[in-house]
Amino acid sequence: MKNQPKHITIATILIGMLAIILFFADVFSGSLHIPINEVLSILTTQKSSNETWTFIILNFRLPKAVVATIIGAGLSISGLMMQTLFRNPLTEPYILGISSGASLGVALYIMASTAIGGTIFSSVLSSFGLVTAAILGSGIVMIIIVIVSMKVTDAVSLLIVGIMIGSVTSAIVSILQYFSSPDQVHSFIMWTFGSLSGITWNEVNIMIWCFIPAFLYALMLQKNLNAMLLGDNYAHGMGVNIRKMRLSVIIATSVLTGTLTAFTGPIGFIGVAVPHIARYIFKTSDHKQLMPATILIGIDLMLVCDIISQLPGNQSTLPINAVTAIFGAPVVIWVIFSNRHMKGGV
Amino acid sequence: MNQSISYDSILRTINLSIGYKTSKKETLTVLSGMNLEIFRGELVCLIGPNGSGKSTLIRTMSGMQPALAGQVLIDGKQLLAKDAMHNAHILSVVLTDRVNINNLSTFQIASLGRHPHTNWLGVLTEHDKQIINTALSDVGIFNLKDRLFSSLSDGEKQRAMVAKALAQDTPLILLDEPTAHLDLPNRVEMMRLLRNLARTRNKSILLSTHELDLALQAADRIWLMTPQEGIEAGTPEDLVLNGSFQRAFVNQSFDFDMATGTFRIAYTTNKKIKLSGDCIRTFWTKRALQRHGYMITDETGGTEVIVSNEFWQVVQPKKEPVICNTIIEVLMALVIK
Repeated sequence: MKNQPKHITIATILIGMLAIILFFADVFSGSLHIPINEVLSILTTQKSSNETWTFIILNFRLPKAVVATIIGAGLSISGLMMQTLFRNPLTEPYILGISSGASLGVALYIMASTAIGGTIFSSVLSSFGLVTAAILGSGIVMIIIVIVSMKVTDAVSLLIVGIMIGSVTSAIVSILQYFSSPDQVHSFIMWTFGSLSGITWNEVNIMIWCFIPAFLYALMLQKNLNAMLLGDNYAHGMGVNIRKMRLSVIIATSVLTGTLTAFTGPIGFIGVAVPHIARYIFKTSDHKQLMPATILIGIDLMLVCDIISQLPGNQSTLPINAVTAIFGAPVVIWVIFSNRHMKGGV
Repeated sequence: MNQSISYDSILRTINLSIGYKTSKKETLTVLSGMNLEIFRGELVCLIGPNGSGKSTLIRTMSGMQPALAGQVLIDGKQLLAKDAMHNAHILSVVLTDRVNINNLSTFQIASLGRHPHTNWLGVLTEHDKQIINTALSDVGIFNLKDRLFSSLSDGEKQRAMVAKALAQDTPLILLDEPTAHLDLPNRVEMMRLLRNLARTRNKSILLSTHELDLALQAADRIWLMTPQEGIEAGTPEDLVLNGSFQRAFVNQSFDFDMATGTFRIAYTTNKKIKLSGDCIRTFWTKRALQRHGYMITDETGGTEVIVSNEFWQVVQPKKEPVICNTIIEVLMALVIK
C-alpha cells in the first residue's frame, strides 16, 4: 500500500522535524565553537556570557540559517513547478534564463562600478547595489519570458526560447569578462560561487517580503499542477486556463528564483534534484503531497549543505554551489538506486 | 437498466463554422453552417475519411479551438472558447494524447475528473470519493484502483480516462478516437462500455472513430463527414440505405456488402466459378475463392465446386472430379493443369 496518505503524513512530519533539528545544527555549527547551551540561551533570551558569541549567533549565523531555509524551500518548489509545467524531468528553475539575467546584471554592475569609482571589490560584493543589479537583470529576463509565453502557444517552444535567452545573456557575460580586469573577473566569479554568509537582517527582510507572497501563490497552484500532469489538452478539458497557468508558474518561479539569486548568487542543483528525491521517497506525483515534501526536503538538503560548507572545525568555508552538487548528486543517485523498480519522470 | 433515448437534445450547434485562422486576415474554413444535435443518453459516432475535419470538429466542440462562426449549446449553456472552467462543467473529454505519469494510482487519475468541482486546495470530499468509485466500477476497473496507472494495460488506461470523464459528471462526454491504441477485443469492449454508459448513466456520448464496423453496430446515430458533402447525421441504417455511407468510403479497393453490413476488400476477379451447397462451409469457401480472384457465378458448364458437410468436390471440364478435405486442397486442385 504505497499510496496510503497516513504513511505520507508521517514521513512529511519526520522530514519537517528533521528540518527544525538541522536549522539549530546550522546555527550551532561554524568556525568558532560556541557551547550548545550558550547557543540556546542566545536564541531564547538573546543574552550570553560572551558578547561576541551573541553577535555572531544573532547577526551572522541566524540570518544565514534563515536564508538557507528560504533558498531550500524556494528553489525546490520552483523546480517542481517547472518540471510539471514542462513535463520534463530535467527542467530546473533557472532553465528560462533567470539566473543568467541576474548574472548579467551583476557582471554589468561589477564592471561599471569598478570602472567608475575604483571601489574595492570586497565591499562591492556585499553592497546593496549588487543585489539591485541582480534583481534588475533577472527581472528584465522575466518580463521578456512572460511576454514570450503570452505569444507562444506550446510549452516546448517557450522552453527553447528561454534557453536561447539564457544563452544570449551568458554570451554577453562572457564578452564582459573578456574585456575585464582579473580583479573584476574574480569578484564576479566569487558571486557565481554562491554564498549565504554576510547577509544582513535588512537584506533578509527584503528577501522574505519578496519570497512569502510568491511562495504562497506557488502553494495555491498545487491543484492546477495536478491537472497539468495529464497534459495541456486534458488540463484544459478539466477547466484549467493553460495560458494563465503557465504565466502564473513563470511569475512565481521568477520572483522566487530572481530574489534568491540576487542575494546569494545562483545556487544550482537543488531545484532540479529535490523534486526527484521527493518523488522517489514519497512515490507519488500528487502535488498535494509532493509540494510539502519537496519544500521540506529542499530545506533539509540546503541546511545540510550549509553545515558542510563551513567545514566544521575549520576556519575556511567552501563555496555553497560546489557543496550542493558534490553532496547532492550522490544523494540523488542513492535514492534512484534504492528504488530501481521505479521509473523516473515527472 | 436499459432506458430508451428521450430525444430531448443535450447538444445543439447553431450555424457552426469550423476551421483555422491561418494568419491574421485569412481563415481556412473546413465546414460551415452546421446545425447538429445530440440527444440525451445517445451514443453518436463521428466518422469520415482522413482529412474530412473530424478532429477540427471535436476540438471546436470541446472548446479547445474557437468556432469561426455560430455557436455550440450544451444543456442550454453556450460553449465559451475562452472559459475553460465553464466548459469543464458541461462537457468532459477523452483524448488521444498519451498520458505518461509514473507515480499516480488509477484512483488518483480518475479523481482528477473532480477538478472543476473541488475547492481551491483540491480536497476530495466523501461525496467526491463516492462519485470516483462509482465511475471506476462503471468502467469495470474498480479492482485496479490502487494500482499505479503506469502499470495498467492500454485498454485499462483508456478505461481509467473514461472513468476520469465520468467523474467529471458532465451531461456530455467527447471522445477523440477512444479505440485507436487498442486491440480488437478491447475495441469492441470499449464500444460496448460506452454504449452501456450512454444508456444506464443517461450520458450523451460523441466519439470520433475509424472503426466503421463497430460504429455501424454500436452508434445510435452517426455523423458522417466527407470533404465533398460536409456532414450528414442519421441512424447507421438510414445512412446505409440512402447510400451516403457507401459514397463516403467505397472506392476501387473496398466493397460494402449491403446484405451483411460489412466491408469487403474488393479483389480483382477474372476467373468464373460456380459454387453449390448451402452450409457454413460454403460461405467460407466463397471467401477463399474470392480472395484468390474467382468470381462466383451461376453459369453451369464451367468449373464448379460442390460443398457438402464432409468434403469438397472440384469438377472441371475435361478432367476427373477431385475430392478435397480442406480448402487449400480445393485451391490447389483448381490450378493443377
